[in-house]
Amino acid sequence: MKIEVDFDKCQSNAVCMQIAPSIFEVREDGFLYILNESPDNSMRSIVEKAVASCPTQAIKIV
Amino acid sequence: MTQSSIERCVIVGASLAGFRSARELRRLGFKGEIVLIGEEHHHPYQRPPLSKQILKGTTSKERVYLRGTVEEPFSLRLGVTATSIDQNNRVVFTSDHEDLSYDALIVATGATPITPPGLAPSTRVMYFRTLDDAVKLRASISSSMRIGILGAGFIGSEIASSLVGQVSDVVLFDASPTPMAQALGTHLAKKLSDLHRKMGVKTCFGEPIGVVETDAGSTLIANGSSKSYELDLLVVGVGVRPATNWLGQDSGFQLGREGALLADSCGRIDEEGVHFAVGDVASWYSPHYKKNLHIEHFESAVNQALNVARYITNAEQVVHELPFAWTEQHGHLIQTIGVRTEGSEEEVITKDAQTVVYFHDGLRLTGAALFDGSEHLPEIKSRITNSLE
Repeated sequence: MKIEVDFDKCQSNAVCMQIAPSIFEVREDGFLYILNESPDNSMRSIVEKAVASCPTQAIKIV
Repeated sequence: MTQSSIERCVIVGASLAGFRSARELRRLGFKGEIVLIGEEHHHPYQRPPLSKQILKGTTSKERVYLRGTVEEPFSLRLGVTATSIDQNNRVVFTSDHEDLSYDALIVATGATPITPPGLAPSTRVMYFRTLDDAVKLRASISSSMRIGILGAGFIGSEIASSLVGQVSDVVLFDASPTPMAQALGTHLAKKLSDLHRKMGVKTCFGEPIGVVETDAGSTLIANGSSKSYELDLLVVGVGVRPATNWLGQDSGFQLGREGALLADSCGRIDEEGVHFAVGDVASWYSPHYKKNLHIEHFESAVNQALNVARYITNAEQVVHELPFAWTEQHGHLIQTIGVRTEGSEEEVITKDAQTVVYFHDGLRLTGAALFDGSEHLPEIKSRITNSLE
């Protein structure tokens, strides 16, 4: 599983960070950072929840 | 036209759609020259934060600039306006007289705010479209100000939500009885209307608006038919019109009902596949809805840019997504997916604090609007897609 974020769509709402803090982090500079681009499959359901909940639909699993 | 024969691609409009087209062309391996020209002096930026974080003061100007790097850059000519084109000889004429020949042209000139008839220009009336507009409004507000907002669509409604609490009065005007009803339908528009009032926005809906300006230095008074409001500033957000004038009256490009360039499902606006249009200026044919749709939202601009780049480079298949838009007001997230057709039936599902409204047009489910219901989006998206097939 690989995570892809469209940084133009991302508005740093940090919803993903609340759901999967080990993978997504919105820092002080206001930008989102992906801490782990290729998490293992045990994380799939939690990443899927982050993908679905993203207000701007900026996250994809590829 | 094949990619290898394109020596120069000119993109008019350094907007989200224009910039994104350029970046995607490069990402997909386009080898020709790319020239992007833009009227504004700013580096290309995104608009969603203008009426939200910029007005609330929670983000800086720098944060709204589009990021992303390209390995092989393109030339970005800012502060330059395209004045006209010669389609047959494939030349764009520019305000700095450095005219550009092209083998492919992408029109991404966006849209310009509609000026309501009868509203005279004034220092106390402003329009809201650009980063400069947003920064100017933010800089001009003070706690004693009374601000009116004309037009309760996406932009007007967001501005009201961002300003309430920061200024003395926020009055939202619209001739329709509820805000954003075209996108949200009756149920959610009513809910948003109540929310605005609960949060302290004064609303003047369903009444014709007249604007009176008194002597210099005194206040502007906007009259609803039953009440009048004294204001220090009126922000106008009554919609936009696609910016196609520069193409000339007899360009031969077809315009839709809203004045947008009619494009096929790959963004082509001509037979040869030399001219394309993306973003607010375009109305693409939607294979889902089997008609052209003019959509003035971020997501469509991005998707169209990606699709034009895919088509020109032939590197990837064009992907047709359902229209999607979102807005954040008073701390709530509202999203729309698909299309709400006029007169469609509403199926309202409420659970806890979430509301989902489905829009049914006869037997078809054409769209939905979600109030704080983001996690249902994937499932709703597939329901709509299946229903439209």
